[in-house]
Amino acid sequence: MVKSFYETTHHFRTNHLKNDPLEELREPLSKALDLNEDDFNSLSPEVKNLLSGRRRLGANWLDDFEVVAEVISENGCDCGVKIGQKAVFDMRHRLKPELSDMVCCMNLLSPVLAIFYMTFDRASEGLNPLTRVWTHYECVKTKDSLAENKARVKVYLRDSKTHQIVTSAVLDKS
Amino acid sequence: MTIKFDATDKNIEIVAKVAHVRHCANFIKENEIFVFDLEGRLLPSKSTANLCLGILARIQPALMIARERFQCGLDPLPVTVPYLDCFDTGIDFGGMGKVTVELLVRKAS
Repeated sequence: MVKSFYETTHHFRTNHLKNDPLEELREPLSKALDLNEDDFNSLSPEVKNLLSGRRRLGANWLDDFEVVAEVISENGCDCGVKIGQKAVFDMRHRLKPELSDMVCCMNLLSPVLAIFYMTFDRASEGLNPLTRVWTHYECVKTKDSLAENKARVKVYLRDSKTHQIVTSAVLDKS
Repeated sequence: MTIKFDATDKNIEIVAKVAHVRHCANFIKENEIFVFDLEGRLLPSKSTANLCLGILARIQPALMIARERFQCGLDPLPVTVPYLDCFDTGIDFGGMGKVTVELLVRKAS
């Protein structure tokens, strides 16, 4: 018996962009990421959804915003982070050290990666790329206080030029 | 080989050197490095690669292991984890790119 496509693939069941070749992205993306035609044609439904965020939030949305992780708790921290200090990321989840003033403790900053899995997903739907739910993160080290004392950050989105905090629920420009 | 380190000498750094790259959207290139101190802190001024959290977060557990091993007087790097790769699953498995780093130890400059 011949199996259906969805029984033989590990991809998301609904391919929203099945008939969309993403023509406007083909040339710049192929050049930037060293993709040949076969590579581009084989982009998964998941990646096509990710790339389609440009249509909703604008072609430059990855440059238009920044994610800021601001320290709100320093109790029990050995690494030297202080309340009010910030780590700033671009929307490609790269740290911007020139805009950051906190020591880059990976025990505190690693959990923030989860934010960026959600930003691409939300952008493809035209939403504010920053989650409205998962906005606080904490150090992964659990000490003798049994997680009572930890360094913690709150996370917010800001305009990369004006540094105004962006809280609108929907940013769709399409 | 395990090397006996002087546990009082904190003058070492953990280096993650990029060993392989495929279609990285953050333009990380082979032989670029990420540098950390023994407290698990990234040192941006000593790092040459774009500071992508997708690979940095993958390295973080190894930094905790390295610190513990160092405090025990052992070579900070566990021999069973010479390489680490980023959280992007790569173009063949629903993702885009893939970066692999090799962990090294060096004397702090």
